This record gives sequence, structure tokens and C-alpha cells, in this order.
Amino acid sequence: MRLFWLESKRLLLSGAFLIYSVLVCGFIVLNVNPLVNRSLATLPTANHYDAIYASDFRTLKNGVMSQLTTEYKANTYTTYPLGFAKTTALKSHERASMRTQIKALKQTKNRHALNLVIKRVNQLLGGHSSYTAANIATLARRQMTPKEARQDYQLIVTRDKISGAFARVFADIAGLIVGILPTVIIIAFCDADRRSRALATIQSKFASSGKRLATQYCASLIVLLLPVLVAGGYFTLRVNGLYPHQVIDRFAFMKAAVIWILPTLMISSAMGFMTYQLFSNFVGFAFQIGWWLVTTMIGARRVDGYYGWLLMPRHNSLHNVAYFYTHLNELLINRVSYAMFALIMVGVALLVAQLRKGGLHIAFSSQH
Amino acid sequence: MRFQVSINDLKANVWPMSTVILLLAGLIPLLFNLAPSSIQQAAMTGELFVPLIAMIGLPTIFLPDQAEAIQAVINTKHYRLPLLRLLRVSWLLLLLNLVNAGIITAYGVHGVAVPLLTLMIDFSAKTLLLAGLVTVSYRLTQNIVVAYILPVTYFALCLGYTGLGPLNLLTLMHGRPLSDCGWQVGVALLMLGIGLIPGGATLNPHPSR
Repeated sequence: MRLFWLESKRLLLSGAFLIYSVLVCGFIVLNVNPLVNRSLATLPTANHYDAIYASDFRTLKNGVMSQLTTEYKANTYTTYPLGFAKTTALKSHERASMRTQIKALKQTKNRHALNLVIKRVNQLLGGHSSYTAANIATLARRQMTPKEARQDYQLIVTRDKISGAFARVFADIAGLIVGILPTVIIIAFCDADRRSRALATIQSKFASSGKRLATQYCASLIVLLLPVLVAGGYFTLRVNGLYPHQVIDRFAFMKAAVIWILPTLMISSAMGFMTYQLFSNFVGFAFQIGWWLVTTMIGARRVDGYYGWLLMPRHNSLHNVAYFYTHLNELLINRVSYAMFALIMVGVALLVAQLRKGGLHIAFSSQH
Repeated sequence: MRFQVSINDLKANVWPMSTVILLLAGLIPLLFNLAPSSIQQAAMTGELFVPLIAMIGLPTIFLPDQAEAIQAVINTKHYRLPLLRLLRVSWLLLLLNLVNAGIITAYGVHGVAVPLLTLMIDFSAKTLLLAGLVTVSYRLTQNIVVAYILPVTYFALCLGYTGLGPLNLLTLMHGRPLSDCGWQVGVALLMLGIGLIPGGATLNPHPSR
């Protein structure tokens, strides 16, 4: 416990943590504030319903048909390998196959038939296109109907208790910044250890390097989550102040911080520890920023509700609540999986640390 | 003597990162379309990916002399640390702009109907702006972590926050005028001046903490 406190204190009192805290809080407040200023106290009027990604067969089919026909006429199809938009053109025999698929698409009668056609379209384009079962929703964006808007509002008031809707946006934004900055902080933290030659001293003490690394990891999670919790506390107070006569979930932001944001932080922190053990330099930052950018680009195609296997699940909308509750299990599986993956990464870091210390025998011995 | 020292420093301290930059630039043809159909698509490489490479590469110019003892030794010589850092930044800027020029040339070879000179000005402004941000953040704080996290936070803000005006990196991707690049170059030169000219203030009197 004393080691944990010492490591926390070292991180907490560093200049890097101070600047990290300012950047994280500033980033969250700048991006979340404009949405918090929007009122959720009443049902929006007819012309102000939010847009959603429709899931009904008719809207999906029309959206796919319209997009595919336009792209077919121009013979320019956009695909998204690793989230980056790339255009591709088809050769004449492939265009003939595409024409056949468009005809087949016109005759589809249900979602299953639609899925089969778009699968063939996606194959023709070499994959990564908008024409997959998961991606076609992006082609079916439309304004909510009055019935959908009423249901959305009911969910915000009853299940979200207002603050839950804001907490989703908060988690979306905080995830973006927490998905990258901690990696650098941790690498610099480890680098400072190496430069001060702390390892030799530590290894002569009772605390093994493995125990110290695990302690450092736990301390980093608690300390680096603090600015997020502070920003969450600020928004809890703001939402309470804005809706004094409504029932508010006072723990919505804290729940979002722990369930939604913490697994992302666990990964970016673990990446720092693991890559520093492997390479002893800042190269881990390049890996993490690559992962971060790819996730950001993939998520950017559907910012108001996209969880899947994204490191930073997206929900940059106060609405689309039905989507959130329908896909809540998917989100939870995503978060638990990333938390477990982070622990595996820390395990690898521990193993590498032990290997560096004394070879295979010590690495697999329970005594160290 | 100075020339020899500069070459030795570049070889020892900048060459490894130069190789990494070239390797990362090698990913561009795999990830992006070198025959883009619109200026928004053409701008993605120089407004998203090259800045990303710059954020990885540029802070490393401060890594070799993180220890105060090394800085003290260097500063006893004819060549001072600011000169070495100026040379390192200049070299990496040259390299990043060569990557930019390579992308533009590839567009030209593919006969892309987008204004290539506009793109080159736009791409160069981004690398210069990030170089300025990296150097000034290190100069003011003497903390390598800040030289990494400040540009990354700025980059993340550019992706979603709308309040940056002409200083948003995604000028052409967001359909903003090229005159924004004038602002960016102006701010970049100011920051490079503060970041690299010898003497002046620092917010942290104890480097590397």
C-alpha cells in the first residue's frame, strides 16, 4: 500500500500530470459544454427532431439504392480501409456484375435478401465499403418521426434521468482524449525511472520489479482518471443546476467514467508500460497514435452511435437513445474485452521485465 | 568543425527517426488514394497523416539531451544546444516537406484534377505549425511529455471542435479558404522563433521533470 501511495504521489506531483489534467479537462469542457447548453427539459418541436440512422428495411433499401446508383453512374466507389476514405473504379466486366447486383437489389423484399446482395456488392469492391450489414445504416440517416421522437424523449426522462444523455456525450469525448495521452505520460514515467537508475535500487529491496510494475499500473489508472472524474463532477453539478425540478441520475457521469472511459484508459496506459518494457523508448506512442487515429476515423463515420469493437465507442448525440439501450450489451462486451486485453498487455510487460531481469527461469518462477 | 559536429549529431540523433518517418510515409499509398476525386479527399494525406507523422517525429529532437549533465557538456562547446536543435528541426521539416512533395508528385502523375500548388502550400503550413507547437511547448515547459501531448490534444481538437477558426489543421478538408494557411504560417514562425532562438523564458527552471 505504501508503494502504491508513493507511486501515485510521484505521478500526481509531476509537472506532466498537471499539464495532462489541464488538457483533459479543457478538451472535455470545450467539446461537451455546447451540448450541455441544449435543453432536454421538453419534447423538441416538429422541425427540430434529431436525425437517426434508420433500421427499417424500406429506408435502408432506398438509402443503399440511391448511393449505389450514384456511384455506379460515376464509376467511383468510396471504400474505407482502416477508416480512411479511398475511391476505387471498376473494370468493364466488374461494372456488368455490379449492374446485375443493382437489378437484384431492386427486387429485394426483405432484410435477409438485402444483406445477401450488399455482401456481393462489397466483395466486388474489394471490401471495406459502405455496403456491409453493419455499415449500411450510415446510408439510412433521416430525421426522427414524431413517434420516434416521443419515444426518444421518454427514454431520456425515464431511463437516462436526463443526466445519462449528457453522460454518454461526456464519455464519447473523454474517451477520445484518454485513448492517447496516457501512453506518453506512462512512457515518460518509465523513462524517468530508467534515467534515474531506479531499477537497480528497487531490485535490491523487498519489492520485486513485477510487483512494482503492477503497482505503478494501478496507480496510473487512479491518478490519470482523476481529471476525468473532476470534469464529470463539474457536469453533474451543471446538469443538477439546469434541471432543478427533474429527477436526475447524480451518478451518471461517474458510471460513464468507470464503465465507459476506464477501459480505454487501461489500454492506453498498458500500451505505455508494455512498449516501454519491449523497446525502452517512445516508439509505443507511434503504435498508440496509429491505433487511435484508425479508431477515430472508423468511429467518425457514425459518431452518434457506434460501439462494435472500437477502442473508443462513439455516441456524440444527446438522442439516438433507443440505439444505446438496444446495443448496451454490445457496449458492455466491448468494454469488458478491452479491460481484459489491457490486463494481458500488462502481463506481457511483467513477463518482459522478468525476462530482462534474469532470463526465462526467473520469469516463470513464482518467487519473483 | 561545426559542420562536422552537425553532421555527426544528425547521424546519431535524427537519422533513426528519419528512417521511421520514411517507413510511416511508405504507408500512405496503402491507406490513401493517390488519385483522389476531390480536394477534400486529396487533402486527407497532408492534413491528417503527415501531421500525425510530424507529431511522432518532431518531439524526438529533444530526446537525446534530456539529462541536465548532457546539456551542460554540450553547452561548453563551440556549438550550443539551440543550434543543434535548430538543425534537427530544419532537417525533419525538410524531410516532412519532401514527403508532402512526394504525395503531390504522385497526384500529378495520376493526373488528378485538384490544384497541386494549393495542396503543397496547405500541407507545408501544417508541418510548420506542428513544428512550432512542438518546439514552443518544449521551450516553455522543458518537459518532453508536453511536447507530445500538447500537439496531440490540438490535433484531436481539430478533428471535432469547431472553434479553432483559421488555426484548424483540416483547412481544405473542412472547405475553408487557403488564406487560413497564412495565419497558420504566421503563428508557426512566431512559435518557432520562441522555441528555437537562444535565451528567453521558460516556465520550468528544472528541465526533465
